[in-house]
Amino acid sequence: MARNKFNIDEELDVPFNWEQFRRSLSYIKKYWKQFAAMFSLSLLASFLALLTPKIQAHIIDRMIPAKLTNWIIVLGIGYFLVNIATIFINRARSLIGVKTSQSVIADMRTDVFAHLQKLGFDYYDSRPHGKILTRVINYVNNVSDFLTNGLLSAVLQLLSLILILGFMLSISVKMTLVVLAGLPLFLVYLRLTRPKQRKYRQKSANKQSNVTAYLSENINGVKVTQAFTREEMNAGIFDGLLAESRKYKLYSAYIGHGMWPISAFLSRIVKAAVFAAAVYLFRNDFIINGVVQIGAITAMVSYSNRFWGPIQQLGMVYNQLMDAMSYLERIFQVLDEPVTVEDGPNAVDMPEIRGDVSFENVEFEYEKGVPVIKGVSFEVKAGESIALVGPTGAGKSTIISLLSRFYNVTGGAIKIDGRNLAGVTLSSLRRQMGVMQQDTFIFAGNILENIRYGRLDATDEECMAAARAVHADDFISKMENGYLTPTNERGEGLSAGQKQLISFARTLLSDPRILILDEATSSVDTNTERLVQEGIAALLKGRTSFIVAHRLSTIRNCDRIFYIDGGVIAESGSHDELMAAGGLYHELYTSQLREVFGEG
Amino acid sequence: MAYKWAIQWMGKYKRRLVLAIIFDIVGVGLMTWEPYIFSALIDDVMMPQRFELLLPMLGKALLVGLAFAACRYLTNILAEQAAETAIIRLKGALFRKLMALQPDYYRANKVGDIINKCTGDVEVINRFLSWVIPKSVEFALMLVCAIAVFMSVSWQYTLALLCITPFTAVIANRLGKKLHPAFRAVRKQLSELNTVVQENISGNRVVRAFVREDYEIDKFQKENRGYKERNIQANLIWLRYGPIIDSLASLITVVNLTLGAVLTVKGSITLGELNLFLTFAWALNEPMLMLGMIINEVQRFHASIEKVRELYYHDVDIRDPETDKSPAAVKGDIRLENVSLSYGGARALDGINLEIKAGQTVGVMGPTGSGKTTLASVIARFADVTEGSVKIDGVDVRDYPLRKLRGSIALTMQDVFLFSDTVESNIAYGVPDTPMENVLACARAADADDFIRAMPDGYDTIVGERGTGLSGGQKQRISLARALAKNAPILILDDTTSAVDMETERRIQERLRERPAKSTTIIIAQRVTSVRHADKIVILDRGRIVEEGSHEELMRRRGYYYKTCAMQHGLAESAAKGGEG
Repeated sequence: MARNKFNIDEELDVPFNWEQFRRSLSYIKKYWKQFAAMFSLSLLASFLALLTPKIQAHIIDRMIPAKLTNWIIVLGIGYFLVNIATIFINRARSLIGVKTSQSVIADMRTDVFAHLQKLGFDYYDSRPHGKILTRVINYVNNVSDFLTNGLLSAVLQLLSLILILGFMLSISVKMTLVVLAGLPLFLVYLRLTRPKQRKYRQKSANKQSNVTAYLSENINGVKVTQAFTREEMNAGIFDGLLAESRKYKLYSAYIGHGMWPISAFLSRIVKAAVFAAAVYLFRNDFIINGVVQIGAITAMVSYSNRFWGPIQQLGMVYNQLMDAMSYLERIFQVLDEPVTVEDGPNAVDMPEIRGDVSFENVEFEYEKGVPVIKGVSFEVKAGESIALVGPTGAGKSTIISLLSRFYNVTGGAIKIDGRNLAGVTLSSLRRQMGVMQQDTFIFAGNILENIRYGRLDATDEECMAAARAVHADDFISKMENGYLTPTNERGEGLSAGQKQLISFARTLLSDPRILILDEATSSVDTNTERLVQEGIAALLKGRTSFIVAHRLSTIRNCDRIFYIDGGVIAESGSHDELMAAGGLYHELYTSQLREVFGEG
Repeated sequence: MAYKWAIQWMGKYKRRLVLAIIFDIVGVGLMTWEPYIFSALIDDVMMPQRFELLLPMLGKALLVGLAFAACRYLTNILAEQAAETAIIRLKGALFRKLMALQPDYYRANKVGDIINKCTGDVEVINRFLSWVIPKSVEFALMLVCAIAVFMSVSWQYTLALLCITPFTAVIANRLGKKLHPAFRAVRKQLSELNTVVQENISGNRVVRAFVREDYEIDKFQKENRGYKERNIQANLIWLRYGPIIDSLASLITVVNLTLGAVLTVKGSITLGELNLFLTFAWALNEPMLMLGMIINEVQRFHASIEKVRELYYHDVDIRDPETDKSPAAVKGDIRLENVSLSYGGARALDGINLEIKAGQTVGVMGPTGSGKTTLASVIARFADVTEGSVKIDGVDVRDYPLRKLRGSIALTMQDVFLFSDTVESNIAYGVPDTPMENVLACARAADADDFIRAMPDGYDTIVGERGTGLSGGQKQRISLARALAKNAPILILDDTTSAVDMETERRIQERLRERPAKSTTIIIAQRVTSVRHADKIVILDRGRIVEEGSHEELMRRRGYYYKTCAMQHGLAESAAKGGEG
């Protein structure tokens, strides 16, 4: 499993390609109508915007020499109206643009989020969570502007280039060629800087992601840092990450900021060339009745300025494109993350589970070549309760994870009521399993909402009944706001035992057909634990249960005990049978008794 | 003041910002000069057809253009350098603050929110420093230059143009006032969205277990849509006022052109001057057009810096004492004198008196929520007592510098947190320079060596954030090894072996007892086997000590401890009696 930590840059093996570009276009396809509208409006606006130099030239060349004061004022009003029209057309376009771009981001973010819901534990276990978060939130935000405004602007600028070209051609073909001569120089500049630009953008995005990941992890682990007085050292590491990120951001700025000055200077060269060419090369073209048409030359200069405007804009879009591509790569990377556990092509829904469970020579490995479960077989009848005991890391938690198909077995088969789990839909299976994991997780909200997470349509009364069954009611009702006591992420402020009881109530509320308790009550005091067991006994009558626990009191009451060691079942049987057999379990149990009650 | 506060982070890079502004000013100067050259080009070269002057003139124009482009580049680069520097310093300072804040801050603030302050909000400040400051100077100067140019030709004319500006100012001001709350709303919604995603990621196991993917997507969609709406709202405000500002700007151009043309007809100004006016209309307009954008950025800046400063100036309640009264070397005597602690009215600890001699081991048991973890917290000063005092070697913990106090205590926490780093780095977390032998020795003492070696990269294996992917018992043992590596005089183990099987736990206990340097040890546990060998066992209930004594003494008392023992081993009364003898 390729794991990632805060200071490891994530490898990007997706090169810039048209495929990826096309793929990002698929997000805007849905809004083609809006794009068409924006496009038409912009076209109109750019056309109107191009009229203004024409009007200006007309006033200077015709009206002023003819001294037509009234006509100047009329044209001036016309000029104003054209401008106002342009402004409001642009406004209408922006309105559509804003809504569309926001919709595109929302769509893309939903896709990423929905895909994340399909990914297995291994995805989340192998990288800092801050890096995942950044993709869903920040990267998508960064891409949105490019996908709507950037792309549209690119198309529009190209179009206005063509329009300007038309206007220029209408004045003088030769002069137009002079204006165009500057273009190849700019393209050469782009071509030369592109690879570096791209490299630095990527680096910079990576470094920023490292910064966020480290920050997020340190906030989550702040107590450990304080307990181990590592504050200064971590701040030093953080400073290092920041310095790296600054370095690449600046590198990329050195190139990125060069775009405007280069094109601005080029535009001036072109402007000078226009003058020079008009005077030295094509002077005759501008002479009408023996007078040089200065208006025509200045109009040409003005168009050449306007010609470089779009070129500069295109340069900016290009910068945006570079940015967006490095973000898109990471977004698509999430979307391309293979779903390891998913419904098979012919998967059917699991009917209501009775509770017969069988493992047939089940093998499993998290990482290739490192088997964790090495051929486990057993049969459990509906209604049986099974305790899994054995050394830490022997594979107990893995066995019960396989039961809910959180992972696919690498060998053998698991069957519930005779149906192979590989052939049923995940949701129909997991919905009927009540799994309480080692890591309790409390959501931000309140206690009641946290319990209700187990069954969303449960009434308040049902939630409270579940809490009473696991004796969580005792401490909840003592709190100032009772069940409505706010909880924050991870349940800071609640004790570990309280969190376990709340998640237990949540599991119970889901009314599982098979109950799986993985150290569900390890931090709960023994008395409460006994009360919990009594409380849930009636509720779970006739349901199969698997319990991983280390307290003998929890284990002893189970129908059968599997002693797991080294990925296989070393012993199995009831407490009395295993005690009589005098094996590993017997040794475990008696040594405990000796320990507590002394030799006697 | 917010601006000064933001700029101070540049430190000596402030000079670069000044330099950037200087280049900016020079740039504006060159930009103002340029049209004169072109105007002269028309009036003195083109009109009289003195084309022999053309080339030198164009040469001058190009030189000015080149200098202008260079100034622009330098402005951008220097401002960016200064801003980036300020940003990383600010981020570093915020990080240090976060490392100093106590648990109640983290209880009151969402992680997503905090991260957002340090990233998104700081980026807004970055944009302010690198873009808004130089641009504002540039536009202000541009406006001044343009006005000066117009004035130099005709003051009446200038006045006519300037009549329009007050309207722009009024509109711009109104825009700013409306935008501020809209941006706050966007920010707030972003933090909601962040929280939902963050929780979904860290709670992914629960989501899968309860098949709540669709529910989560719905929850996410609600916030996602909300974020979209808020963004649109903010933009709508922008779209309401923007066109008015644009129209006013356009009015300037129109008046300029029409009035200028009429004046030219009348012969008050030359054609070259008219051209100059037309060129400078841009310099009058641009600042007005950009005014809205700048106001927008300034509003965002204020909204963000507010958040950042709130974090930066947040009170740290648990601080170093004025004077350090701590002993030179900590032995590890712990005494709690009448210690009480209240959380919002409820008493978590209630008049605790407890003495632990250096080198002793004390076991702490009690029902869920009885105050066991709180007890550990007040010793390591993660919370300060509300009454009484906690003393180590006779000195109140509040008189120890925090570094020294916490440096003397090795603490394992119930909620094990491992960093996404190698196993080795995790164990050596408290003592990064410790030799590998010490890491190995501590891993062995915590009975973690075997399973670590069995992992694909052994001690170099990178574990997931919080240690996901490891079993509960494995995490606990790494966390124990991490505490042992610190080799502190006081060791507090909070629920450290609850997920460890009994065999392993016994091995760990034996190894702990065999350790050469004996730490004062507090073991908080639910299992009797965890505290069985302690010198003293304390039972807490509702923040009070209800039983205290050795294993044998408490067994004889037949109270909570005895009952727990019997229950945990599923024994009838008789068995318990037999054991007692």
